[in-house]
Amino acid sequence: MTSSYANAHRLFLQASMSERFFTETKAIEMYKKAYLANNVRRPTETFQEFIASINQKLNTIDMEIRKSHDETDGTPVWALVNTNGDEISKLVTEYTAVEISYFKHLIELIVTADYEEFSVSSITALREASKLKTSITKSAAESLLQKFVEDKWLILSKNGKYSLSQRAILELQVYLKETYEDNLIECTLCYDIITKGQRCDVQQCKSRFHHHCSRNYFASQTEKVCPSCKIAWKESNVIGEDNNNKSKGGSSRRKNKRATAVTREGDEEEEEEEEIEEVVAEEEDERDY
Amino acid sequence: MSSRSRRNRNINYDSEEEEAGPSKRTRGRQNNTETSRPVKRSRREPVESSDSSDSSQEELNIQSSSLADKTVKKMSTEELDRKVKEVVRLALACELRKVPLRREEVVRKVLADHSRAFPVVLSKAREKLSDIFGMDLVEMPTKEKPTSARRRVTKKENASAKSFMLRNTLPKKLREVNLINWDKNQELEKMGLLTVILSLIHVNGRILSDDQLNHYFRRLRLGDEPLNTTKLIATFIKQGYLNKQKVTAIENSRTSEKDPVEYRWGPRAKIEFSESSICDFIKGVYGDDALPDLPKQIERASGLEFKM
Ligand SMILES: [Zn+2]
Ligand SMILES: [Zn+2]
Repeated sequence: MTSSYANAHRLFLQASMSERFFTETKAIEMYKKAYLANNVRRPTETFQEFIASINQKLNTIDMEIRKSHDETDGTPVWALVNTNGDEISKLVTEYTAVEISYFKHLIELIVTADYEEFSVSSITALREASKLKTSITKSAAESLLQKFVEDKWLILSKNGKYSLSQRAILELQVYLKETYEDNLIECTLCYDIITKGQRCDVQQCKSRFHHHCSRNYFASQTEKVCPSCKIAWKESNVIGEDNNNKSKGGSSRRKNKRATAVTREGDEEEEEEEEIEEVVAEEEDERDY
Repeated sequence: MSSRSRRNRNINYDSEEEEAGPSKRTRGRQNNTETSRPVKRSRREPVESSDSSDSSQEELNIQSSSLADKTVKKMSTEELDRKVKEVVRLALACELRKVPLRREEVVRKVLADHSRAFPVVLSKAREKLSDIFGMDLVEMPTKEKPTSARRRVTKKENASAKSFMLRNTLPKKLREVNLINWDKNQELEKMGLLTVILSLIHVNGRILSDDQLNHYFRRLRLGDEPLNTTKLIATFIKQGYLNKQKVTAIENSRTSEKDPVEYRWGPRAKIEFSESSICDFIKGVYGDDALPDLPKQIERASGLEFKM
């Protein structure tokens, strides 16, 4: 076997399994330590090669170590993700069926928010909890929201709005794209999902940049104009919470989408009921254990 | 190699069959009693279609072989691959939450109609886990039940009650390496407490009563702050590190104590912690004060009459 795959890779993977989501700085530190632990002073592979070797193996089980940039500050981050769209089923192992149902509702509210705000206020989020088929109390919803933030699935802003974390975007990517194909938008520079960033001043123009992508792009440009329509680019035109798209007559684009989402939800509720039964049975088993 | 066995090579059903018991012929019947679903389905599906050259021969073979074999054979290589992947990811997800991966769960969530393929899928999943992660999927020891209290379990129930967990198979030196600087040391604190509890159980003849445990907690000044010990113990039980058992009347009179519950090592502890690691831990606690015969003492204190 000429494969360079060795215990250093396995050690790195075991660490990523427990960490799931980490900055690139941490990833590089883990990579160096993994070689050192195996008494290798000079890594036989560069960091990129190392990750590629791991991903070659992971691909055979539909998993991947994937890079992205944190939307809020552009920090390069890595996550161990499933690539075949059953991430939600992975969540099943972390939360109960009711909790997942609530989480899905929150995702829906965030992704389908009007005016590309991609966020939901605490009040709306809590109100949604009472609308669930198996409704949860306000205090239970409050602690659950806190848990979603602690577990790095959601971000809570200073103004009390919840939005998707980079972990959620990375790990739930397949689910998000499959479920909200028409609602999600991509950064026209890096093609990653964008829920926080900047948009072109022209309503019809599709240009959308992450803050960090915008910074990088304009650093190499002589003029600060939209690459597509050449209109002056304003960094104050934002995507994400509390933007001014509404006052600018932006479209509440979700209206028709909401209708389809609701029908979808109808099916979903049935599935959820099944899931709940399963989980309840499971929990009983565990208690018995 | 006959054409039939060659075709089965990827699947290797017979050689992987690890459940002792019924011969090939009776397996089909056993399958029938286990659950009626796979049987119904396999009746509806066309009988063996992949090979046309010797189909008549094949049919004869099928008639004489069991339904179980047919069920496995129907799975295409891609389907088998997919199921292996799913089991691998399921095992990883369970490990993350530290809950056992139960055979029943694998059958329900992954295998469905192919429940008899379990040993094949499991062994392939183990290969993947070992190659990629340096982990092995091992069966958890079954919990010792007080023979008096429990009804006899049938063989069938035993098989479906099997559960598995991941065990790190990297060299010991590497297992101790921590690539992550834990931000919150909570996790380490928890594992520290667990090691203490397991050691206490071990040197107390491998059983510790509720009262004894609380007594040690008081002596170690482990109140409810900052670690909520009651909650943590519940978590350890749920994760399989500890077994909690009500003391039955007979045992109670024998030990002449009136403690309602007692703790033992759980199945996960038996896999993740060895007796020697506990011994090392205790030696570490004693530090330079450790007497040379400490290991012997620990062995004696663990009480050989309580076989694990
Ligand atoms: Zn971008
Ligand atoms: Zn534009």
